[in-house]
Amino acid sequence: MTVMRPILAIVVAASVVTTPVRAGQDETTVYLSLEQAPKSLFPGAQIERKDVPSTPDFKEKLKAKLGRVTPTVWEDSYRTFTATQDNKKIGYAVVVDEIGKVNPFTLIVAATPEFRVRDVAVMVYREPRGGEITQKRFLAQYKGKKSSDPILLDRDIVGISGATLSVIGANRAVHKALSVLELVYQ
Amino acid sequence: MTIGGYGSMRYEDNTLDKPKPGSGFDFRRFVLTADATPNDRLQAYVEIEFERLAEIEVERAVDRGEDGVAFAEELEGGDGGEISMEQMWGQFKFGDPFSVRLGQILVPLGRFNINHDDDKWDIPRRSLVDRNVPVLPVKAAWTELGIGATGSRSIGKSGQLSYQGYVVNGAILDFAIEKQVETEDGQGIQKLASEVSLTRGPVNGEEGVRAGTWRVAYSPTLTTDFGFSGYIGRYTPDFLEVDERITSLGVDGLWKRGSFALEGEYIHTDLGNTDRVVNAFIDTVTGSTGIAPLAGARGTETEFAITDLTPSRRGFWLEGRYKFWSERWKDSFWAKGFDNPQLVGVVRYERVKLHNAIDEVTIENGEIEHGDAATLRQERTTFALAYRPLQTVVFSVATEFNRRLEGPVLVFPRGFTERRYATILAGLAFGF
Repeated sequence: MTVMRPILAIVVAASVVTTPVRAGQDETTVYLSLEQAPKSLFPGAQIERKDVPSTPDFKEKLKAKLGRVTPTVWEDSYRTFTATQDNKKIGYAVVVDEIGKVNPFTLIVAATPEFRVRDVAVMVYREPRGGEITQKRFLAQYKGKKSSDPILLDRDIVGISGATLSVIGANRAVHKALSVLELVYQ
Repeated sequence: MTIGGYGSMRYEDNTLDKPKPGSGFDFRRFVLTADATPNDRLQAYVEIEFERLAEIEVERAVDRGEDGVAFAEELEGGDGGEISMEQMWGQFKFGDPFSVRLGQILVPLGRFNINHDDDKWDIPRRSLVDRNVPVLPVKAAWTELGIGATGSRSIGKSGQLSYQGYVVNGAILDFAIEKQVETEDGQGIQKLASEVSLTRGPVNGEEGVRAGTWRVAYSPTLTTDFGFSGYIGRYTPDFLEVDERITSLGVDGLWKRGSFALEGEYIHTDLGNTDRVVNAFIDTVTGSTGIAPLAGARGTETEFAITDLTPSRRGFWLEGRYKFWSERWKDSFWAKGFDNPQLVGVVRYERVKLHNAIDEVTIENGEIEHGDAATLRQERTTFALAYRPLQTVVFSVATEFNRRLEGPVLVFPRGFTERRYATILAGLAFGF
């Protein structure tokens, strides 16, 4: 059977017509830079950055606030942002890392002034699997969540087959982000 | 590189007459996976499976005595043990909706075969359709060597369309040679049996590329997903001098609402004119004389058999799952130390039909035995309760109720004449 020939032709043709994706960096896909991330979640707003060191005291308070949620990454400092539009505060954002299976991925979580999730975006993904969590339709589930919500797989978050550990990591990341923002800005 | 894997075992007992098949502890499998993404456009994946395999021991010896020399070789291992390269592929991403995958890939027929890791399922046994019968041309996890394209694209605000399509070497009627020692009429005999049955395709490039397989899936939202899949390919080997094809079609879906999920799959497989295949087999073995070969040398017997041919098979499974947990249990033994423990109640109903199934055609001791063809139907209902302290660890208990609906024997386990039987199962599966 010579079915290989047309398939190879399709493969070669597709390589010509499709545009290569962004250049990769060793097991890492960068979706948003630190500069782009807050602007993409608060388009048109003025962004002010504030780095918050994770002092032992801050970490203790964060631990207490997180309760049953145990992060896999404790950052040395948190890069937080305040967004202002027409002299009115429209929200906050923070960059956090969490481990999916082996490697940490980086998320930016934006919250409303009432500390409910406004938007979530994956900035950097470093795992060979579970990349489905970067899909907008998955991340849209977090909108409106607050730190007292369960934010748990199969309770208030719908999972994705083949990306279970990454989904669980994303849940922890959102929980941690909301807690950090509450500690810094509330 | 990320190392991972999964494993599972179970305890089983059933009401079938002795000798009971599959009762006792069963080491189902342990699978090691390695996943590497050296660049975001390149990915490699390997899955090596140890199935029902505790050990393999080979002993070889040369013994020189007064009368001469003896060479001895002994192979020890458990029944049904297998080491298998379940997957081994590399993938090159051309663009977001288009990647080329090359290697030993999972045949995307139905939804179970491509999503078969034991820790993802709450019942400690795979389905009749995908494994026990199977209706799939080759039991899950079914992999083939080939090349093809895979990708997905967002449709609208929350939709996702994904596809996979490959050309592969393809499933084939392959032979295995068995050696047996039997007692017959008070004397010991050695029996050599050559059995021809459907298996995954060869990986040595000798039988050519014979098949194509594909799956298209659409997920309008995160909670709904349905797919349409197929497999078409020649399965008769060159030595049989007939040309018959497998045509399999599958429809599957998943729907979630809150804590409830409904998942299912239907597969139809057609094997063409199996009478022609059987006649070609007899023709080949008898050298076109129609005269069956006699027994071998004194004290030995030879047998040629072609097994489990069915012109068509079809079947489905439908599984409902309800996940629950009460906050009141948060300080209990079952919750302590776990973020999100869950209990899952599961009901699965499945039904299979083998149309005009021939269990075996044998050529033995100068005689051709052609078993009667019979249509076999069986249904199975399974109730299970699973406890998941973590998403990747599941302890489960289950009860199966099997019923023979048509034909003189059960489809699974094949050959038993009981009208009904029940099974209890207790299992553990884990992923890491």
